[in-house]
Amino acid sequence: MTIAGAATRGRRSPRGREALLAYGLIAPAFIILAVFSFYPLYRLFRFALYRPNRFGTGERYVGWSNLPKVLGGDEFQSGLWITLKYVLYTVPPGLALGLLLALAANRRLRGIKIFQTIFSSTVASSVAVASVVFFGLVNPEIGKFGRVAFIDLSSSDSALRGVALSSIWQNMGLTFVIVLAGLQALPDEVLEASRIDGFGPIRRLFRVILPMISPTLLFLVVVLVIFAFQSFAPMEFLTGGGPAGSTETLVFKIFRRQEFGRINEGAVMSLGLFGLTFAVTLLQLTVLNRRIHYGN
Amino acid sequence: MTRRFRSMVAIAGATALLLSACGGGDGGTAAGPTDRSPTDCPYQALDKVTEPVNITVWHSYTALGKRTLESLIEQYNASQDKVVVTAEGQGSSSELHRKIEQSVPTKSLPAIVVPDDTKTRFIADSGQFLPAQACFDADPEAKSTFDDLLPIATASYTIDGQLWPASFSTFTALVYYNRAHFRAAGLDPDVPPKNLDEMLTDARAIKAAGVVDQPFAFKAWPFLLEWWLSGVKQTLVNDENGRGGGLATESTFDNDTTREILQKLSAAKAEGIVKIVPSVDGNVDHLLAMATQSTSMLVDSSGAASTVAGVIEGTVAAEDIKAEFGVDLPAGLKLDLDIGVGPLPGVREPGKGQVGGLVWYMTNTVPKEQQAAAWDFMKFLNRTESQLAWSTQGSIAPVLKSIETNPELQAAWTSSLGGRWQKVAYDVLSNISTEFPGPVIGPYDEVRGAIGKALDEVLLNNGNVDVALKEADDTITQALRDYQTDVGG
Amino acid sequence: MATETAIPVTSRGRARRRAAGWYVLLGVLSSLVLYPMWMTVVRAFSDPFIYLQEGQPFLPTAIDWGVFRTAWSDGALGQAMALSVLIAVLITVAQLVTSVAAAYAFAYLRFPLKNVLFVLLLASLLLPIEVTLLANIQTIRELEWLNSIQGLVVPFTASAFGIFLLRQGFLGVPSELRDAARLDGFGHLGFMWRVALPTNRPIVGSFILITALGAWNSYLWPRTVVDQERWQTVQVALRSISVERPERFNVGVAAALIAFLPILILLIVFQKQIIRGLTAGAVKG
Repeated sequence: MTIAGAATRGRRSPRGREALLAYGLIAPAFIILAVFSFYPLYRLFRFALYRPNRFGTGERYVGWSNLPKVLGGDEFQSGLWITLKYVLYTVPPGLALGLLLALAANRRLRGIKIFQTIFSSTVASSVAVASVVFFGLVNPEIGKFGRVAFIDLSSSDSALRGVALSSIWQNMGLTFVIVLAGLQALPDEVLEASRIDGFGPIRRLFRVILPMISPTLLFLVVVLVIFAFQSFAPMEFLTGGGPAGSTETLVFKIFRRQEFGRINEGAVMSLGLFGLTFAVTLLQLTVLNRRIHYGN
Repeated sequence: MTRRFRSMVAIAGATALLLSACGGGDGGTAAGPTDRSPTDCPYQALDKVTEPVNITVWHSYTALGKRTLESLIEQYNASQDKVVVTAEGQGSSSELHRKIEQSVPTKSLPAIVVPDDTKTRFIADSGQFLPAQACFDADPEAKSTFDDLLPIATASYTIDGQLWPASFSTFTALVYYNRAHFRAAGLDPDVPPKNLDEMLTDARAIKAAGVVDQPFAFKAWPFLLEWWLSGVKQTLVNDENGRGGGLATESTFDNDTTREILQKLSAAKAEGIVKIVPSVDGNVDHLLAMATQSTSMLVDSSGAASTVAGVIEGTVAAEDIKAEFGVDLPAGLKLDLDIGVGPLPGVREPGKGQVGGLVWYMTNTVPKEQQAAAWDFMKFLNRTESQLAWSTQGSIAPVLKSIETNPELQAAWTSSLGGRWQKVAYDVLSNISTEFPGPVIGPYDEVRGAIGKALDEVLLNNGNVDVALKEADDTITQALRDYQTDVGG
Repeated sequence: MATETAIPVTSRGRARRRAAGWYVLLGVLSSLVLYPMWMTVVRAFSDPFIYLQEGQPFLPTAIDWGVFRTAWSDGALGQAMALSVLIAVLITVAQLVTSVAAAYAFAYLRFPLKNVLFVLLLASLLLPIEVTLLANIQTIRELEWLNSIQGLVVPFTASAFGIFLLRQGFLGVPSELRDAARLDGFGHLGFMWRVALPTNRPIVGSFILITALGAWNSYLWPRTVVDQERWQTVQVALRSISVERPERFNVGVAAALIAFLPILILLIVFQKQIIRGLTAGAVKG
């Protein structure tokens, strides 16, 4: 079908055929998204409002009041709290380390490429591999640092911190790569100008460099926060959710609620996670937009 | 909007509708699960098959038990050509339970599942299982086996007059204690502690003698607490512990015995004589502590007995040590340990508790030939030879009364350390009173979760006993009520 | 590109010392990244029990060179890796096809509801698998797609991110090239194949790498959809090989290294393209 020979086909107008073609092209992607992204949203609401019988033989309407009930309940609240703590444990250290690595590696030195490759290497690691690596380091029985109190996996106060180490390490590659790209995109003139103006390196860092890469940093914060919201594998590998449920993040709790007897609770929690992701993304869009102007 | 586009939308919409129709999404109708599918045992359906019938078994056996199961299956498959059995391990018991519960709504269970001893009520109410009683009654070949089954096992797994499982692998709990430590503390190494108080007293003596710091390793297993309660005939739920003919609807977990147990353990922890180990699946810290002699006694399943004994005598293979415990010791290594066992120390007396273990159920959602095949395999498992294999190879107590006098078993029970320990376990099982076989609870996993939470709260987080008990009580009652609604009663 | 500029020749002595200082810092930072990897390698080669007894030294003890072969055969890693490769290929090809098609439509064609559909696309980013898990696994159960290729692949055959990325690339094709193609008598297909895609080869390349990487590394969905051992992908298999058997941890970490190494090599070889894919959207200009 050529663009030129469109009008010869009879009663259909070129515009109509273009639309037809367009719908045909977007159909595969949209059908998949419809079935596996949008339809699930509907089903989640259905499971949240109609509690299925655990034997699969029927369901009971529990109403909209079920949502605040579960969202305010112990399980969701604890999952939320643990997930937020995980954000706290993984995002600031991840950001700081990425910044440190990128600032250090952003210079002309012989062999700097090797260091840059090393710093970015954890990008190749999956959550499973990172978890196995850190199992060997922090497991209380066989881990080299298994008895260090601050990250002790066998104590409910510190277990989450031990798990966080694996995510921090894994994220290092990504944060480095992104911050480095941001640094390298900075215009030479501004940096030269600030050096000529007598700005010392520290001042240059805080007054010029950081503000100018703040959009990149903000983007990174959002990415890391969303990663933390989605954390599941490190907990499964390292602690199984224990001790005493102290490492059960939201996704972990949701994963354990597939059976019909618990899917009602799980669906509400999933919707809660959805709301959380929505809020963070919204925050990114508004704050990021404002920051772009400020950065100039 | 072209017609073709409209039809594409229709297709997409139809796809979505089709998918929703396939699921259990009917509005508000309750086709009660108590509408039981046929309970006649189709045990003769195998007679006419021309091709081998394939059946699958979902189980959670590990280590020795798993190897025994696999060898029994091999034997069975080789001994006849009508049935081919395949076993699929599903990980831990709780993972298997989740798998079963996830498969019930889509009726996709295999021919046989082997959950633990807590699932009977759920199995019965789901309407997707064939009560073994029906087959024991219908099949003349099986009558003698039925009469030979261990009374405590039939008592535990009979609901409303029907025995639901066709076979069982029973365990009980034993106390394992380090005799060298006992000797060093001036305690008689041949006398295991008889009850909770004695365990704590012995621990105190060992600590005072400076042998180890925390002599008693206590893994905070909910089932242990449940067994202690059953041992003194304390109910967990109402309706005569769920056996009164209806469904249990209220918790009785918050009672004086529970309070006593929790307070004693909590005080012991504060005193420093008890090391509390979290009861996460797969956590074997308490066993490792025994192996490294940093602790002197613990309570664990009798299923571990043969492996522990084998490690001590240096006779057990390296893979079994690894599979059972999580410690990889070179094969043939003798740990210089002097360990003794005793019956589970109860709240007051030893050997009081419950039967636990893995239980074999047959489903009725598979074709009749598969149901017949499943029953045939069950009969094979219940034969004397198979039961002997379970005991001598698998460290699992046999379920036939008659087997006690079997010379091969007698020999096994006296010839090795592991064998002697197995005898201790068997004696406990044959002496548990059939009057109080333990609770029958539909939503047992939730109940056990609530009990575990209370244990963790008090023992790991040093919480208040009364608060923890009240919370567990409320959760259990709520779970029971929800279950009752689901059953439609 | 803004990088720190070179030091003038006159202060070479001072420069060398400063460079040495940087090398030291870079070395220290490298150890942060490399130490966990090194310890993993050490554990893979050491006998687990003896290694523990020796207090977990920095160098391997009681080296077992056959550990990788053991990990491969014991954990049925070959089967798991083959499965992971297959689904990575299927997912990448499918995402490429569906994303190119949709991106083309959004970039070059006019059709009713275009903006609405675009917003829907944006909205789908808010519905990752973590949120839709319970509903999707129920759908898969009802379709009887547990433990199957379809179950592992089909939910991931479309990607809003891919559509955005490629649309951006298509929009960047100069209009002169479009006009030239039309004059030469090429239809949409010809234009796409001869102009739009080739000029966007870097982006397409990056997208392929990122998607394949994501599919290979994914854990949550394969973990949910699969419960039979022979259907485990490499990442899911790692759990049973390593964490569930801590006494044979050397085998477990060896398996993890086998899963990690190919991707590391891929990263080193295709560093530029992968980084471009990761930073898309992060950096303006």
